[in-house]
Amino acid sequence: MGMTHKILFGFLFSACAVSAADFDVEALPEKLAGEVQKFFAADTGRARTQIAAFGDEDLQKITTAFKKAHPAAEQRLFWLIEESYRRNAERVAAERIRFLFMAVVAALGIIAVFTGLTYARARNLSPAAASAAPAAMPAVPAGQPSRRATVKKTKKGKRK
Amino acid sequence: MLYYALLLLSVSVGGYAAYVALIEAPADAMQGNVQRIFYFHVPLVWVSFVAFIGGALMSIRYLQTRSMRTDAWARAFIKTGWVFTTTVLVTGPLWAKPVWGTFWNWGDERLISFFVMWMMYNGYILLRATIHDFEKGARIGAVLALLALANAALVVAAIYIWKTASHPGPVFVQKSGGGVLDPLMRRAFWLNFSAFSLLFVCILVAKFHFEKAAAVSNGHDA
Repeated sequence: MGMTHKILFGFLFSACAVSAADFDVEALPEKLAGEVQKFFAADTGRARTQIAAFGDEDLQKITTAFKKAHPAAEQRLFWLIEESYRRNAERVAAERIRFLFMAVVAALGIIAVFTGLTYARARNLSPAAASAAPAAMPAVPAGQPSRRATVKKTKKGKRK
Repeated sequence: MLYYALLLLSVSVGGYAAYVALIEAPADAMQGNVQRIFYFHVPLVWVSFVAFIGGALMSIRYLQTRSMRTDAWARAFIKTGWVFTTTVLVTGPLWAKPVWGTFWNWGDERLISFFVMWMMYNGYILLRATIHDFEKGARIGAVLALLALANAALVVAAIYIWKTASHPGPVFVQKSGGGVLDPLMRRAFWLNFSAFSLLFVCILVAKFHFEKAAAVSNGHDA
């Protein structure tokens, strides 16, 4: 964003802040007017959390009443602000969908690979197959002579 | 045959759960679509903890009985839990980047304790792979599984002990009134919760068969 744009947006936002002081809340329905008054009076942190409490229709009524309180020339500036917010919101939404997509693909991918490997190994290495494998044979102690050698010795002994 | 049927069931439930979570459930008012990661992230955490509690219980049983069958169960629980924990460590940062502006916050106690827990289970798996004496590996592994579970308890308690933790609190009991309130959001959550729990059981049973066969091939009666 160029310096000219920054100055222009700075001007727009400060113009809105000044105009907000002139906004007549009484133009709104009674219940909504009370909520808007509370919203104006709250400190920054609390006001930000209150934004979500306004419904879509409420927001529409408030912004329409605010725009009506200003001349046509200033309303063109509101269009620019709205367009700026809209583009920004679109950018953020697209970015969030991209991260959601990555997270879902990564989670399901990792689990699918692990499941596939586990099932494949469990099938190839069933207990029956493992017991038939040479590794499952009881180990012969190192110093013990083989059966064949023992037989030979016995035969020799008999000859003597 | 039973666990192939279980797998088919969990994949079917998972497919429907993913549809509800990604399409039917409304987007969060503040976070937008990225909040949908929560439907996968939280059930994955739940399954990880079930796996590690199961692994620790089987380890205690192994230390009492010295049965290689219970050791095979412990290995199956912990290795399956490790995969789910790894998935949690992938999905969490992918949610954090657009919401916090950074993938990871080294100042958050819950994140750090979770990372340490993951490292401990890495250690368990490495230990079991490198100690060739099967019984010695089982004995040391059982002790390590119990130590890692103590760390898992710290992960749960982190947001209560250190108030500075930026990680969101429990989703259904937030004092600020947040969390999952919309019925469709609740439905998406519980469906995914069931799907991942079922999938965990499927993988666990298959993994146990593999680990049991590995113990048999090492000359142990499992």
